[in-house]
Amino acid sequence: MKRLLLSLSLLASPMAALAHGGLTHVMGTVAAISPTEVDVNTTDGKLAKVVTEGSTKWMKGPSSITEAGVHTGDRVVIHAKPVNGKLVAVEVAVGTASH
Amino acid sequence: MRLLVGSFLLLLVLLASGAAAFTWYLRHAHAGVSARAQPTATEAALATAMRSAAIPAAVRNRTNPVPATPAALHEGMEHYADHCAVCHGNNGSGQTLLGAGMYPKPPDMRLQATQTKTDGELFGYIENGIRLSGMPAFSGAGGTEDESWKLVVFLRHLPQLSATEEQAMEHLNPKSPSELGEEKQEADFLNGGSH
Ligand code: HEC
Repeated sequence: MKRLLLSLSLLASPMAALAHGGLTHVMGTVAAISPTEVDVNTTDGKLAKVVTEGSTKWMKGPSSITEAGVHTGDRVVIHAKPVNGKLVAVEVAVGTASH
Repeated sequence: MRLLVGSFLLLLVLLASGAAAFTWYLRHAHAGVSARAQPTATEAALATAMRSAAIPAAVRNRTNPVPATPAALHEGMEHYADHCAVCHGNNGSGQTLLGAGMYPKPPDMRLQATQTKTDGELFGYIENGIRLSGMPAFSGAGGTEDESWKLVVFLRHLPQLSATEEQAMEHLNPKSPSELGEEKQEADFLNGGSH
């Protein structure tokens, strides 16, 4: 019974931060951005802080962009690796739709 | 007679306690015998020497009949991304979820230890697999020998693999329906759709 409840709650849990291939997926809108961190209001209503580095890839659709192309309020999907309890961004994809 | 029964019983007790001690060792001393462990250097050297010796000289001495053209390389890369990368990683490092849990683990194929092996030996491992390891035999899986030789062309390219090539391979890796679903959901979200 416990198992059943557990799997049901796992199924029902928000898809915003699924981890696989060792990477955590963070999906939401940018709450704040600095040269070293992006804070994301995730689609499941949490605030996720993701560290960015020189090696972080910034993408808009199929094209590479720089961090300067990402602003507060933008939709982002970040693939990040957990390092010492922090999330470090491997790739930040920013929304292609204007708003 | 008494002596005989006595020593028989003693033997039984010894055997039983030996078995109990061994079981305890397996359970506790090593938290079970884990495939996550790294084989010792001696064990690895022995096993590698033995599997290398198991490749017949006629196979070992074969040179790659498929020329290393860009087309052959690309086919090898596609095939590798589809069938080999789950264990070996797109870049050949062996740093994958599956690879890390194997005993023996897939080696970093960019290194000398693999690259100095003959074309024939690499071909032999692909065709026949490696017994008592996770490395499957791919001959008889419906492919031709040419396909295995193209894989060898790609293996030779691993040390020079560029970041762009590695990224392109990610799109060729097999994906589960849930990953495809998630990718679509993320793309929709980025394109401004609801979630
Ligand atoms: C299920 C996991 C798995 C898959 C899939 C797999 N391999 Fe392997 N491979 C291994 C493991 C584990 C070893 C190491 C075996 C050992 O050390 O004895 C290995 C070893 C090898 C070696 C020997 C390397 C050396 O230096 O000795 C080659 C070459 C190789 N694999 C190529 C391939 C190719 C090409 C494919 C795809 C067609 C492939 N493998 C698919 C697990 C896998």
